Amino acid sequence: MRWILLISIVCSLISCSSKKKPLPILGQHDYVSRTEGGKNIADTVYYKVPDFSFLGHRSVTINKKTIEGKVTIVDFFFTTCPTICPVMSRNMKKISQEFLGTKNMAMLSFSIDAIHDSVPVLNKYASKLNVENENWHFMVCEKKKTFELAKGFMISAAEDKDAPGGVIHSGAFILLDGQQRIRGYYEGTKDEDVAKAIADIKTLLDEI
Amino acid sequence: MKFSLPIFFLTIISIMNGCGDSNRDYGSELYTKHCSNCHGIEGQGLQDLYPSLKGADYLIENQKDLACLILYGIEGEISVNGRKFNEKMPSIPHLSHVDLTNIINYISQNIEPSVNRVTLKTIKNRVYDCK
Repeated sequence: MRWILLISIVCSLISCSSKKKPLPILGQHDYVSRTEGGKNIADTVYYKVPDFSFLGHRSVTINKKTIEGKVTIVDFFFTTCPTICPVMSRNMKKISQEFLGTKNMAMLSFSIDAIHDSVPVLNKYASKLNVENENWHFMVCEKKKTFELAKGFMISAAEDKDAPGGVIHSGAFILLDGQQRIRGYYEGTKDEDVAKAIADIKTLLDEI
Repeated sequence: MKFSLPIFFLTIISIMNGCGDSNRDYGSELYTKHCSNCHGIEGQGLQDLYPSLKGADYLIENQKDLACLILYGIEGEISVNGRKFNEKMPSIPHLSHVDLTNIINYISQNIEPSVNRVTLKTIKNRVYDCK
């Protein structure tokens, strides 16, 4: 009996430890109260990234509907960026290959250089990067709207005459769940963060 | 006078430490800062955007111009092992002759051994002949 008890405790411990810890839901939460059965109940309203409508490198409009119900990884870049963007693109490519053929996963790369990065330029960039993942979209829109959108993703992107390429921007990868809630930030130039992003995408895919 | 010998040695050690870290790999630091974003930390390149430096015929054939290419950048299409590349390589005009020597010797030692090691004197002459 003692052995059976010991084995069952060990088994339950193993099953507990193998359970993935849910990722946090980031951003400012709001609360909405309602009355149910004479009781006041407060529902949490989680932060969602703002709506957007950008033109993708395949000349198709990309908006929130495109990523509805999909785990999405996002970055902000520009094709002529001489500093961190090539590293970010290399790492985004790594993620795209990891999830090649995964229908419930999307990747968005917002260009912050609307003047240079036209749709054909983005198309060429994607082609030279040998992007095979059809769920990875390179997109462009007016500069002002892009900078506003970056704020909505809670990262920085702004013009800076002194910066190489004339723009400063965060090197973060942002992870969204299927409801466009922010579930993680990763340094897009660091291998260990990219590995963490891949693991977290898998965790979110399991939630769907 | 009793402590003069230990004090003398301590002073010498302090001066030696203050003169710089002999283990520091300046070539690696400079390559990581200025080259690795595009060409990769191991010189592997990035798909058809930025060429690999490993076994790159363009690099080996143009090694005498390498200091000038790093210093002034490259614009226009180039062919590397039969593949076309057209992204602009930015200039890094603030690099010193010592920096250029360290970068090229780092590439020679760690990435493409067919690139010959260079001396500071060689680099000075090559940079003088750049334009």
